[in-house]
Amino acid sequence: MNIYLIVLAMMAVTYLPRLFPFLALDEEKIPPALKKWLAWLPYAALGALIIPGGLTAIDGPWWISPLGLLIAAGISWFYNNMIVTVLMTLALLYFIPLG
Amino acid sequence: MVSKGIKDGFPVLVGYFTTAVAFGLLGKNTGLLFMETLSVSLIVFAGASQFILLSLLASGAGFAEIVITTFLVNFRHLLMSASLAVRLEKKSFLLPVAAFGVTDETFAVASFGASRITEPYMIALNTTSYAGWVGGTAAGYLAGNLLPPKLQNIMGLLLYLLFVAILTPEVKRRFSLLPVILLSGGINWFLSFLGWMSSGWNMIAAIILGCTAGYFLEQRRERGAP
Repeated sequence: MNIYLIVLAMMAVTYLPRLFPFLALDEEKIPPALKKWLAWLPYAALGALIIPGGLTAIDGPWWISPLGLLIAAGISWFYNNMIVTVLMTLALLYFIPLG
Repeated sequence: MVSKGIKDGFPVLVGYFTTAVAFGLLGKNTGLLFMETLSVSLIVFAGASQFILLSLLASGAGFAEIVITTFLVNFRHLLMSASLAVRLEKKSFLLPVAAFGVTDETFAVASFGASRITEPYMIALNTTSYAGWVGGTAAGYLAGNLLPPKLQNIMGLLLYLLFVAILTPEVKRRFSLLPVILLSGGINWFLSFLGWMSSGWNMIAAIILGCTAGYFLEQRRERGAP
């Protein structure tokens, strides 16, 4: 099986859904209700992206990934910087024995 | 707008680079050639589905299975593009370029980081992120096995930490967002627990229900209900 053929087909089915809404939705003609509904999308999407995938992302005891997410939430609550949050959390997790 | 896009894209570049290192290394371990592994990142540019591709190839899956799974896993970007499209100012011939780089992370950063979304901003943000993804894939293929295994394991959490770091300041600013975020995540969790549908459909259903819940909560609040 040709891997490049697979890659091109994957690109087509990935790219078209990314492109279509930009072509189909005209900013001024969108019903206000749909606009309000779409305003929630970033929050709903991130919720579904983090849970449950993020709860089991690290191989190890069940609590290690949730702990990492909580640490990151704690750091970014007080210090709004993505890179610092991510690097500090990873550094802290690195020193926890995973058995 | 371009320089803001690059600046906003930098955390994604760092996150993508490290995650793509894992992808590059895994591509090598799956038995792909360097150019094959790199071309997946160059042409598809969609994290989760690329990892799924490797496991499907390893399990001997066929062409149709791989392409349909990819479609289902990445279909959520339709919703994200729609959310960006209603905020995008002025469309031009650059639109197809801007749309190529819509991923979970660039979408999240653009949604929360920018007060105005324009094509130059999106292209700068996406290209910065893309550079991290492609560069990380190459580095991972060539040198990923030099990383300590424990670090490779922990880095599996990296993009989720990025999402948490994006969301927390929003929740701090407006605590009423939290129920919608948790509801959507909870629905996704419940659906994956039930196992009736593929994870791609689970996520789409969770996002749609989460948005709908948020919409009606806001309607109630506007009508002055407690």
